[in-house]
Amino acid sequence: MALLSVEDLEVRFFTRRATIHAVNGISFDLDAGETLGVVGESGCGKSVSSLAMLGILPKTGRITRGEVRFGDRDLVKLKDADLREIRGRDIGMVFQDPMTSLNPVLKVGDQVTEVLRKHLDMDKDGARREAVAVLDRVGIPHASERVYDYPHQFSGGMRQRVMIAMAIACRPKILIADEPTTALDVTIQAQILDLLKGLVKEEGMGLILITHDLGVVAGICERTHVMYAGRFVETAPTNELFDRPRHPYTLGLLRSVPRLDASQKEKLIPIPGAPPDLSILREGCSFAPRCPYATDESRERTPMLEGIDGPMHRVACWNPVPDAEVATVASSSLEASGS
Amino acid sequence: MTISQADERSRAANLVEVEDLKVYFPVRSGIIVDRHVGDVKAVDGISFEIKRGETLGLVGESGCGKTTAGRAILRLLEPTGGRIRFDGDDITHLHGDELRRLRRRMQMVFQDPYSSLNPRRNVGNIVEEPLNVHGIARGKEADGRVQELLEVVGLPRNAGNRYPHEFSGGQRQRIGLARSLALQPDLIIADEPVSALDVSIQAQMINLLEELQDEFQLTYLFIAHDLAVVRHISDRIAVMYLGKIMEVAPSARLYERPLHPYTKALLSAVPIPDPAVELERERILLKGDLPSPTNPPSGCRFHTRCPFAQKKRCPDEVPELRVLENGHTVACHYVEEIDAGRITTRTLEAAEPVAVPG
Ligand SMILES: Nc1ncnc2c1ncn2[C@@H]1O[C@H](COP(=O)(O)OP(=O)(O)OP(=O)(O)O)[C@@H](O)[C@H]1O
Ligand SMILES: Nc1ncnc2c1ncn2[C@@H]1O[C@H](COP(=O)(O)OP(=O)(O)OP(=O)(O)O)[C@@H](O)[C@H]1O
Ligand SMILES: [Mg+2]
Ligand SMILES: [Mg+2]
Repeated sequence: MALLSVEDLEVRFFTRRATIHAVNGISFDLDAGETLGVVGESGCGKSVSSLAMLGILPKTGRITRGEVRFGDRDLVKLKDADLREIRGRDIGMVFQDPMTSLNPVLKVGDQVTEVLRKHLDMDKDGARREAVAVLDRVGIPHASERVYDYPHQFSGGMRQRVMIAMAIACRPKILIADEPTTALDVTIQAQILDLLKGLVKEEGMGLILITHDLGVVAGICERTHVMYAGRFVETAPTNELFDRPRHPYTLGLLRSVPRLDASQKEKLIPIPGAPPDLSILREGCSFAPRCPYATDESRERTPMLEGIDGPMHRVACWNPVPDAEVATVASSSLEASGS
Repeated sequence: MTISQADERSRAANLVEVEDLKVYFPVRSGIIVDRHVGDVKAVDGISFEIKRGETLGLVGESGCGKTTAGRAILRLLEPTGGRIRFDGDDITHLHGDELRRLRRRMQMVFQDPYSSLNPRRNVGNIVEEPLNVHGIARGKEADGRVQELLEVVGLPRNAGNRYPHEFSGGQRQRIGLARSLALQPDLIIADEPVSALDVSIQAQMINLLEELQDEFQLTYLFIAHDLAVVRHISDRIAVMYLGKIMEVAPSARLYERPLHPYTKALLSAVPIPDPAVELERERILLKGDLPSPTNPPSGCRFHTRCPFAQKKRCPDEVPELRVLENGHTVACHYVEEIDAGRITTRTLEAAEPVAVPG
C-alpha cells in the first residue's frame, strides 16, 4: 500500500474579486523511500497542493473535493488538532518561503528543540541533545555551538539546512520539500540535493520534491509529475519522461530550456503565449491555446490522465506528441550529450 | 606594426575595456561619530574587454560583484580604482553633460522589470521618455518611433495605451527592452534579464535578445547566475568569485575545458535536464560557504574552498590572470599542473601527511 495517496484533490481560493481554480483534481501515490518530483511553472499550483495536503491553506483557500489518505486516515477530514500531530511528526515540510518556518527572534537550537518536544515525548536536555545531533546530520559545522545563533547569523545555504533539520527532526515518513534550492547558488544547491538524497536513502523517507527546474528532477527523482494550470498533464518514471515526453507541454518545456551540455548552439523553441488565468475555468485542455497539436476536441473536452506506452506513463492529452516527433527530441538530446 | 598601432587596433575591436577596476563600499559604524571601519570589496581589481558586437557573459555566485561591475561600467557607481574605456575614451570619472551623452550609448536591462517601470505612466510614455529627455524626437515623430520599438520587441500594437500592471512579467521585460533600445545604444548591460521569468517565457526573451543583437549590432554584457542560459547566449564568459575574475574563455571552450578549479566546480554543479547524463556526471562538491567580501581570504580568494589548493602560494600569493592559449585566461597558480593531472583532489589528501613531516 502506498504511504500517501492523493485522490482527485481540488483547491479553490475564494477572494473578493474572483474564485481562483488553483488545483483542479490531482491524484498520485507516494511509496516509502520513493522520490517524487513535481515540476511546473510559476502559479501552476505546486505549493498550494502541498499546503492543502497538510491542511495549512491560507484563509481564503479551501479543499473543495478529494482525499489525502495517509495510513487509514483521510487528512482532509481530520480535525485540526490531529492534523497538527501528523504535521512535523509524520510528514515534514520544507517551505518555499523560509520566513514561514524560521522565527527570526528565536535561537536556532530552540526552534529545533521546540519541534522535538512538541511531537516526541522528550525532556529538555534530551531534546537539546537531539537538536544538536540533527543539525549535525544536515551538515551544520560546529552544531553544538551554532544552536545558540539566530537565523540571520546563518548563510542562505545554512539556513536551508536548518529548515531541513526542523522538517526531519522527528524522523517523519514523508518529507515535502518545496523549491528547497531555488534561492541558492548552484554550488550550494548541489550540497543540499546531495543531503536530501542521502537522507532519503538512510531514513527510507518518501520525498516529494517540488521544483520548476527540470535539471533538479532529472538528478534526483524516480518519478515526475508535470503540472500545468492546477492539473497533472503528464506523469512517468523520470527517465521515460525525458526520453519520450508525450504531452506537448512537457516537450515544450524541454525544448525551451538551454542545456549546459548542448554540443552546438541550437535555437531554443519557446512555448508561445502565457499560462492561463486561473480565475476562469474553461472546458477543454488548459494548454490548448498554446499547443501546436490542439484540435477542436482539445478546446472542448478536458482530457484525463491516461496510460500511454504502458501503465507507468500517463498523459492527459487528446493528441499526444507523435512517436516520430518524440524520436527527434531523443536523438537531438543524445547528440547534445554525446560530446 | 608598432606597439601603438597594435594598441589602436585592439581598441577599435573593443567597445569596452576594463582595467583593474575596483568598487568598494565603505562599512560604517558608530552612532555619534560616523567611523569608516572597513570596506566591502565588491569588485576588487578586475580586467576584461568586451568586443564590438559580442556577448560577454558574466557569471558567478550571489554577491560576487556582477551587478556592481555592470553598474560601474554604466557609471551608475563611482569606481574606487582602475580604468574603464568606452569606445576608446576613458570614462572612469566622467561627470555632468559628458556623462549624460555617454548614457545614450549604454543602457541597462534589469532583472525585475516592474520596479524599473513607472506604474502611473502608460507604456507609450515610458518608451518615449528617453527620446524626449535626450531631445531626439517629440510628438508625431516620437509616436512613430515608439510604435516601431513596441513592434520590434513583440508587444501588441495597442500596448502603448496600457499600463505596466496590465502586462505579464515577460511582457514587462519587453517594455523595458523597448525603452532601452529607444536611444539606439551600442552597449546593453542585461542584469539577470530572464531570471524572474518562467522557463517557457525565458526562451522567448532569449531569442528576442539574440534577434535584436543581430538587427541592431548590439554589444551585450549579459549578467546571470544560470550558467546554461549564459552559455547559450554568450560568445565568451567571464567567471567571477568574490570580486575577482577567475577565468575568461570562449563559451564553448569554457564548458568543454574549464581550467580554474572554481569553474570546474561551478559547472559540475549545474543540473542538466537529462536523467541519463545526471547519473553519469561527476560532481565536485565544494565545502562550506562563500567567505565575506569585507574580509576576503588572503592569496587566492578561492583557496579556502578549493579542492586542489596547495599549501604553497595559494594562501598568500594573489594569482594574476594569465593568458594561456586560444583566448583562455585563468587566475590560478597551478592551472598547468591541475590540467596535466599532476595535482588532483586526491593527491592533495595523500600528499598532506608527507608535506607536514613531524
Ligand atoms: N492566498 C491566495 N489567494 C488567492 N490565490 C492564491 C493564493 N495563493 C495562491 N493563489 C493562486 O493559486 C495558484 C497556485 O499557486 P501556487 O503558489 O501553488 O503556485 P506554484 O506552482 O507554487 O508557483 P511558484 O512556482 O511561483 O511557487 C496561483 O495562480 C496563485 O495565484
Ligand atoms: N550599495 C551597497 N552598499 C554596500 N554593499 C553593497 C552595495 N551593493 C552591493 N554591495 C555588496 O557588494 C557585494 C557584491 O554585490 P553585487 O550585487 O554586485 O553581487 P552580484 O554578483 O550581483 O550578486 P547577485 O547574484 O546576488 O545579484 C555583495 O557583498 C553586496 O552585499
Ligand atoms: Mg510555489
Ligand atoms: Mg546582481
